[in-house]
Amino acid sequence: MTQKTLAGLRVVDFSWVLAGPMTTKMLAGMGAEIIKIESSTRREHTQRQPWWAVVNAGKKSCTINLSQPQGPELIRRLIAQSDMVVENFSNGVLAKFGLDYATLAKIRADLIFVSASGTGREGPQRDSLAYGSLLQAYSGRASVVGTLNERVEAMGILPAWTDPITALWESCAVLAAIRHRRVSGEGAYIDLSMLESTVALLPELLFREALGSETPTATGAAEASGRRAIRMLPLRRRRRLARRLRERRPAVARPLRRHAQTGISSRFPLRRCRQPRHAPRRGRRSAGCVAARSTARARARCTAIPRRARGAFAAHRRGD
Amino acid sequence: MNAANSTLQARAIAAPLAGVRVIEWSHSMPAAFCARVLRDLGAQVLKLEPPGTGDALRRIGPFAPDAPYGNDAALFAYLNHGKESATLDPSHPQGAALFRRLIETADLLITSDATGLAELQLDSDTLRRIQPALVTLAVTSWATRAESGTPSAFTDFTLTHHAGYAFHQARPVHAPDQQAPVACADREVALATGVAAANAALWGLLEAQMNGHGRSIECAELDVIAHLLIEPVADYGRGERSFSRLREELQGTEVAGGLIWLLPCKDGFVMISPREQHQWERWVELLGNPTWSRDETLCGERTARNENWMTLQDEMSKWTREHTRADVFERAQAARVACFPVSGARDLLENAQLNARGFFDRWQGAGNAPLSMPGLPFSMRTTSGAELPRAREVVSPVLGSANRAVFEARLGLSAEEVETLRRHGVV
Repeated sequence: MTQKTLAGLRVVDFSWVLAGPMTTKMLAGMGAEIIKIESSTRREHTQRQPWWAVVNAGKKSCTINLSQPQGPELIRRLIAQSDMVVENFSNGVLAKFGLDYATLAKIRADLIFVSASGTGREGPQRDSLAYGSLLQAYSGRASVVGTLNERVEAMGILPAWTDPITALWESCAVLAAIRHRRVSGEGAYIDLSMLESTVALLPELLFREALGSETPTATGAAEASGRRAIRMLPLRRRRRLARRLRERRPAVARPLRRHAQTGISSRFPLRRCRQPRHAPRRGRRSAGCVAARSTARARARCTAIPRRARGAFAAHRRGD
Repeated sequence: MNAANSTLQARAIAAPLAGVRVIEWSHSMPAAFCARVLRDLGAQVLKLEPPGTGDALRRIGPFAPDAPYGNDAALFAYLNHGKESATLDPSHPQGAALFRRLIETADLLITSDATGLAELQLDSDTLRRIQPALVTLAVTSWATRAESGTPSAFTDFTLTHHAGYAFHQARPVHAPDQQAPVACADREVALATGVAAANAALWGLLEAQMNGHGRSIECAELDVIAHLLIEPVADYGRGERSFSRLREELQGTEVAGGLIWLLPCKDGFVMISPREQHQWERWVELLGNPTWSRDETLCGERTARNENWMTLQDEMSKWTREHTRADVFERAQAARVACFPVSGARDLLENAQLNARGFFDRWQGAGNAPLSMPGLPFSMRTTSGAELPRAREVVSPVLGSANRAVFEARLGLSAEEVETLRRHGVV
């Protein structure tokens, strides 16, 4: 009988709200023993129904009052017998109780200590007070999902995005550290930023800006990627794109000029795309259309171009 | 190069996945991003691409206008930093044999199509015979074992709607008939799936390390999107069955009103959340304790603020309109009130916090000016002081640049044999 992957791994879990608890829930699912440290005066589960139970399943709960002198001492004794600490307090909170990484690493040298925070534990904004929802705006996400509005509706703030995404990154870092520990016997300190976790999934937002690219943004309102996105642009904007392409990348633009009269191009079709008024009846399809039925994509493209261009389209497909 | 970067590079480099050999044979963004995350953590990743054309991701923009054609795709550079690229067509008999030999020394095989291996007669039993500890990870869009069967066509956009995420991202709204469900931005869903898949890969590697035998894992994009819906799933578990998108006016919601406000400034918007009573008191003090803030029925407690959020929005906006985003952000944070500017792309590129932490990698391949790319969102320092590198130089693999190293040095083929294979379109 095989053991669960993380059997024998004990985690002291100070984390609360969503990101940290989702991480440790995943570790629990892999067999780790999670000891959730809760405040004896501020019961989180009473404030965060109903999802508190969802993200804390499979854990043990322990209440300790850190403001009493015996509280931190109990924690230190527990950590001497543990393998990992997960926390997401504001900056400096654990240090105040003598429970920061530098102190705990002296008790347990191979400790893995995961510290997740809004903007990270280093840097000029490390002390910022942050919530996941606000970071969804700070990360640029709210500028590309939906439309900004004072009602905060349909603009990427609800449901929580930054928290569960942070949890995915956090568990990734943790699992890598565990593997390293098994190989080398070394512990690790991980400083994870929720802001960075969100921005890391928005590379195109940065590329478009830095490159001056007119590649359209997918704002969640429509599919907008690659050729399909460009086809959705107004004719005038497609022409402008094609002009810029010719200026900057003549090698790529050549096929564009070659096929401009048919409206067919590998990247920027210039002609206005028309949908047929009626679905073509069987037997009345043009030869070009029949020839192009080999793939679904080709079929979709074929019906989107003017009838008079379909023969040329088929020839293009055949490589004539 | 700034001083912070020099310091980072002077330290020993941590590589928690050192020694792990990964083969990426895929044509999807989530699989490519999964492999890149593992590469960032120290694994050695060999990307197998179709001979001649290469990975389709090479042809997806945005493109760097001054970069050489074929190596100008910024997103491809982001997804494939640090990997080796070799060209191989496993559908060719000789290619299949080479593929098997590569698998013999691999720890992890990442694919994007669960059926691709079956077509090569490489089912899980066969793979285990070749390499007992091999972990195979199929990063798919739709779980192949789903009872409903895989639909013939779908995209990230339609999957996001199908999983219900788009529905909940436009919930609640005041006019559901006019405000359609809204999907995620750009490639968020694909990249999130990549991170989830990296988790699955790490779990498989730990499992193989502990028990000595590999697993076959599938990570489906649809499942990942559903996994992100924490609150609605919890509500469903509690018995809720009617999920209306209609907002109940004047009662606020769990987000806007009482918890969060979007406020206009001179140069954009800020978002604030003075949710605790003590935070609210410090916030109105920052606003100069205006007359309306002393009205208990208007904003005395959170329930009152929740009910009167629209009125409060107007009142608070009068103050914020007189200030810049940076000013409101700094003053509010100094008063220990959670507040951040709503960023655009330029704001992020110039963000003091992100730059100070060395979050951005630099891709010199863009041409005249280096292009900033997000790095890993965490730093890691081992007990011995080694650190994961930050603020790195991004290296985008040139198509087939590792062919000689892989086929000649690693598999022992002669240069003539490789050339023959190349002429036949195998490599």
